[in-house]
Amino acid sequence: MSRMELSETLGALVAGLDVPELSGLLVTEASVEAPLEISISQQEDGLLLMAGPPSNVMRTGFEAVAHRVRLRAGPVEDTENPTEIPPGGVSDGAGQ
Amino acid sequence: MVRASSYPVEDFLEAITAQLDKTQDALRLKAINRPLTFALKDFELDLKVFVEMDADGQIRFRPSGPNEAGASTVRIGFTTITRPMIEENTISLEQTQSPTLDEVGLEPQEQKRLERLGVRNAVQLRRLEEQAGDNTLSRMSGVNLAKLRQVLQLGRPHIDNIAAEPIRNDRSADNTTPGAVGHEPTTQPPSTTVRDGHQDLPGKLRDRLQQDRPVVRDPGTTRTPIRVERGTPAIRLKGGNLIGQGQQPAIRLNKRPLQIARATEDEVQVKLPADATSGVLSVVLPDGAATEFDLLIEEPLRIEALSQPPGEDPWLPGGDKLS
Repeated sequence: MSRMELSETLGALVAGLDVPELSGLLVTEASVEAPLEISISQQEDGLLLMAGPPSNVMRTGFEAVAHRVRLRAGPVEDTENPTEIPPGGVSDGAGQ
Repeated sequence: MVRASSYPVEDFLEAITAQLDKTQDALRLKAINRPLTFALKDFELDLKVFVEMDADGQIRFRPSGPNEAGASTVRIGFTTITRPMIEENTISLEQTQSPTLDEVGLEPQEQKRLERLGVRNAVQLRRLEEQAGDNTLSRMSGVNLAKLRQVLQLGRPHIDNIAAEPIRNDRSADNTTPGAVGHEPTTQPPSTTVRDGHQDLPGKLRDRLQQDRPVVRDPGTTRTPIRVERGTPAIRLKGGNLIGQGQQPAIRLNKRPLQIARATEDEVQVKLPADATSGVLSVVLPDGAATEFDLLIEEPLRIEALSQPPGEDPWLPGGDKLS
């Protein structure tokens, strides 16, 4: 069972969209669909969701249920320094 | 999920929202050092849960445990929205300041029945009653009509007391507090002479007398008098539900509209013009109920005679002065 909060797992998923610098590639939008094991615990200030990828591809009767998440991420628009997307220089969505 | 306990849907959604906010915050921080960063645009979660209803009629999710068959799949989608969209899809802040159904004396079961009709506080209850009538509201919600009327009465706009805003000037800045409670507020006069670092006794005595003065209505009129000192910048009306449904009270002095400086559910601050004269202060509350007061603008009191400079006390033996 994951010891990472859902926010950290999602952040890691989005971080995987970064392409190497100077590669000339730019991801304009990406969709990720992944199974996640999610556990919930009651904290003083509300519920806390922990989530992580399943530890095993094989599903057994005693393993936690894998739920499914889908997320769509895209670059943040910087109005002061707009990103110049080169014609034809756009990569496919990563992390599919 | 491994926990067998169930959670209210609202708590569940709040927990997911909090996690998404944390993700966005982390991504925003990353943008400081990166030329390009990403943000979440949409997020969907397919949850395998057992949907339950507790004894209070509250829907709860119990996450499916290992090897449990027959779980429902609840798909929850989140997307980014702009500030105008938030404002369009949420209730106004004024409504959230209104007394809750619990505060107006409704039982938990009655609250629950009204919540199913979209009513969560006194302002929303009043709005629905105005549109549908108390009979219909009682029938639809199952809340006893007499109880409903009683609650509606409690939720009406009302003024409990009026206080004068202290006069701010060099002499009074250190010795001003709001006027006395009740419908006959008083203003604290400017501080009297301060000698040797102590406030003189006449000022304290006068303050005490004014605070203890009972509310007395002039027998010749049905209006309650409000006494303020000339130069008072504003008066404060304290009560409840004073800005119901986003409407502010209409306040006039001698038929002249007064400007409202600040308005909340329980207090309205009204500016008094410098040239204001004594007269009828009329207040029309958001529900249309009108109240009138006699605003009496009085000249500032001056009590200097009782103050004695130190060392000149005539009661000292032989009239000796302190050395």
